[in-house]
Amino acid sequence: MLPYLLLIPLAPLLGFVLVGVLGASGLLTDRWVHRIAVAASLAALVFSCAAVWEFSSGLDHLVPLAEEDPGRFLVQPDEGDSPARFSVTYAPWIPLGDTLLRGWSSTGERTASLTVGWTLSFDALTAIMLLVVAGVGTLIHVYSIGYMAGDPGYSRFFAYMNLFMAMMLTLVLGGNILVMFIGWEGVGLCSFLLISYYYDQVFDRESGLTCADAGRKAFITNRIGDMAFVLGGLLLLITFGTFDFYAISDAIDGSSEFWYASLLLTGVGLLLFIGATGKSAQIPLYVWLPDAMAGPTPVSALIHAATMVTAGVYMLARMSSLFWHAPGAMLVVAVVGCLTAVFAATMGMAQYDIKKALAYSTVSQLGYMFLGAGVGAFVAAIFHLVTHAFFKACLFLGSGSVILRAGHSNDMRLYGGLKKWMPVTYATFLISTLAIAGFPLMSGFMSKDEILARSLFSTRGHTLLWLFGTFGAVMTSFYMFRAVYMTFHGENRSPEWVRHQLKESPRVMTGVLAVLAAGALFVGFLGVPEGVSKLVGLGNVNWFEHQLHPVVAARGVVAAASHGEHGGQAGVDTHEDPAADSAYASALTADEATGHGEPQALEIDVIREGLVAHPTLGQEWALFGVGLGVFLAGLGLASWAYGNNMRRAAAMAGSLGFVRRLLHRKWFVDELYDKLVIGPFKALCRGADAIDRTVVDGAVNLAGILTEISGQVIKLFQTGVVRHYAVWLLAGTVLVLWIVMG
Amino acid sequence: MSEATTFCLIVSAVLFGIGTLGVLPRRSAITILMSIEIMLNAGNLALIAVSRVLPGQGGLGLVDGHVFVLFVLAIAAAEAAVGLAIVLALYRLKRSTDIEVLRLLRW
Repeated sequence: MLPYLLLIPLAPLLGFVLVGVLGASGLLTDRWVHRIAVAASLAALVFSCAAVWEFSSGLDHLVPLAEEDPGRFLVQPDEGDSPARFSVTYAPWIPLGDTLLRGWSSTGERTASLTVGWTLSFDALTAIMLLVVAGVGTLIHVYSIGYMAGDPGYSRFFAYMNLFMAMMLTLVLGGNILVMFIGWEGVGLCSFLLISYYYDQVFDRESGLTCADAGRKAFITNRIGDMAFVLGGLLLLITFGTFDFYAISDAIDGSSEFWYASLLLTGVGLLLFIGATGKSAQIPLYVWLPDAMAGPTPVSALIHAATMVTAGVYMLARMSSLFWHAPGAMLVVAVVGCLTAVFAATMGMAQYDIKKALAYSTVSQLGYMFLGAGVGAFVAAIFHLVTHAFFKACLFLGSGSVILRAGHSNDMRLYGGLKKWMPVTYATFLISTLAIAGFPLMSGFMSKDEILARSLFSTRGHTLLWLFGTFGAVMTSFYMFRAVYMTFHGENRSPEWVRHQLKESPRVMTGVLAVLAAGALFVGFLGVPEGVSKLVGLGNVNWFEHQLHPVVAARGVVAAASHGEHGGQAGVDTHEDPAADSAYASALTADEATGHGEPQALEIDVIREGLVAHPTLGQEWALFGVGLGVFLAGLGLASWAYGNNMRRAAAMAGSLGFVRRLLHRKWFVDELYDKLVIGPFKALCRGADAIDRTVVDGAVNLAGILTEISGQVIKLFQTGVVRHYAVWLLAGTVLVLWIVMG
Repeated sequence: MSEATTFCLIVSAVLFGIGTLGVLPRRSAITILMSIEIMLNAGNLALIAVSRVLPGQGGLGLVDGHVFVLFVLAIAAAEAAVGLAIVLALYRLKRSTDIEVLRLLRW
């Protein structure tokens, strides 16, 4: 298993080199370009499957990389609490050895190993991410054969796509923060390259931005987040003395009474979360994602819907033990995620560009994932990531299929009635819409409603979070069905020349759509929430949670300082006690209020099942009803406004003019950022430019001017008359003699 | 220092002054060359005079001064040859040996 773990990212990297070098030098025909690229992506998928298969059949028969060097990988057998996991260090990277760290926080002085290696690690979370990235990635590679056919940059496109796959797989497999960071930056680079793919074309007529501008916007916005990510990683390094994920989580779990809710962990958690907001397009750094739609549609599907933008959620899940011990940071994650979910949904309701509508939908769904992570439902968040990868990729590719046939127009006002010409695209788009809108028992219902249920019942959740989330879900259902109605129903509004050439997309594209739609239908059954299975009288059949829970579960026992009067709670079995967290909170408040006295340990089991109150059967039915109601409300609203050939929507546009304009212009957030951030920054740059021109350049020019002036003066002595020289010679001699003798 | 030596040095200084006055105000290149020869020989005289009184081996005083003088004489001969040749070439170029005319090295 170990050798081909390394092959997973290397295969697409090799594909990138081959396609990039040979394609750029014109040695490959288009046919061979996509053969190599798809084969490289497929190889990554095959290796991933093999690795997952071997992993799931037990870690016992893992063969060491070299017999004489068995220490090169670490096997942690699945015993009790700890999840099955292992990591391999292929080569040393930064062999700094042991270093003395001192004086940070209350950790005191101790040595830490700063040796960083090329480490890949593998556990259930990695396995799930690998299958999603390689699987959806390969499908989208296949789809691109049809979508990009005949494009002049064919080999460039496929080379970048393969590079992206390599980087994303590195991100997922990375066993320490630095290796993950390579992937983290690599996917950002590929995102930039692929957004600016049509670098000379204008993509936004209103603002006149070119695709290259959009790419730059994405890159720079990401850079802000990456800065915080690096700071968080470095804080972890100087605190725990290692970059290794497993070592960090073991260190946190092992001494949780010390770390719980500490300022340090909260700070690190917030920094990492800011990094995630950049990569995963959350408030306040979400603004780049809608503009990222300037790239080709397969790129939007792969990078800006299914994989790269979910890297932030993956990173949070990877760091789950840290977040479990930083409830403050988790609260921020939950609130920001919830606000993003609602806020982006409002903007998605008023977009006419089909890809932008889907982009806001992506931002909104990512918000739900962060909401899940923030209330401790990491499993549900990752599950939503998986289901979202399927249905959102299918939606994007479906929109690509439409765009390709509708004269390369993204404007939904120029679609309409397309189901007559494009039945397969319509069917798959509709299935995915049902999935994302939460039609009962489809994948979106399983994952999103699970997140909402957790946000209500988890002790780290709140009724308000659930209310806002549910409100956002209504809008999700509305804007998705709005897109369906505008695109596929009613009368066709395309220009005459487009209408004549309308037909279904080639089979290589519709085949991929069908596979993804099947995924959107059935992937949900991998993770049937406990509540849903209870409704039909089954036990907990949540296979997904069974696999993933050990990796992201909170471990360790929290001992909080408490006073004598709260001492009675010590030793009480708080297992399965939903009030555990609040008991801890009240103990802490009391401690702060009195501020003296001998602290006494109050043991609180952070999670086990304790954090989730198990809802009753009646509550489950109520939640199910709310989920169905949300779906129907959105559907009803959309069909009322847009069903009858959009007549009512057109009528309403007049009366709701201001609101519509506000939403269509995205709450003027771009304009606000322009005024608040970009404007002052540009002023700062202009100031620095002025100082550079006057002070710095002035000093340099002054030196030059002085030299020239002195030259002009001294040259007067150079008369060309020998006698004058003789006089100066004599004068000099006399002067020297006078000084020497004098 | 004996009176003879002092006298020799005074003669040398007077000769050097004559040479300098021959170099500075004159315009003729040939006169200047001749004056330079006088200055050189003033130097030679001073060297011989000083080398007589400095302690050396075999009662001759220090011979270094004599050796210097021989070198100066040889180089002065070469200088005179080259200098006169340059003056001749300049005369062919400008039809004059007036150094006020020869300002080719000016900025």
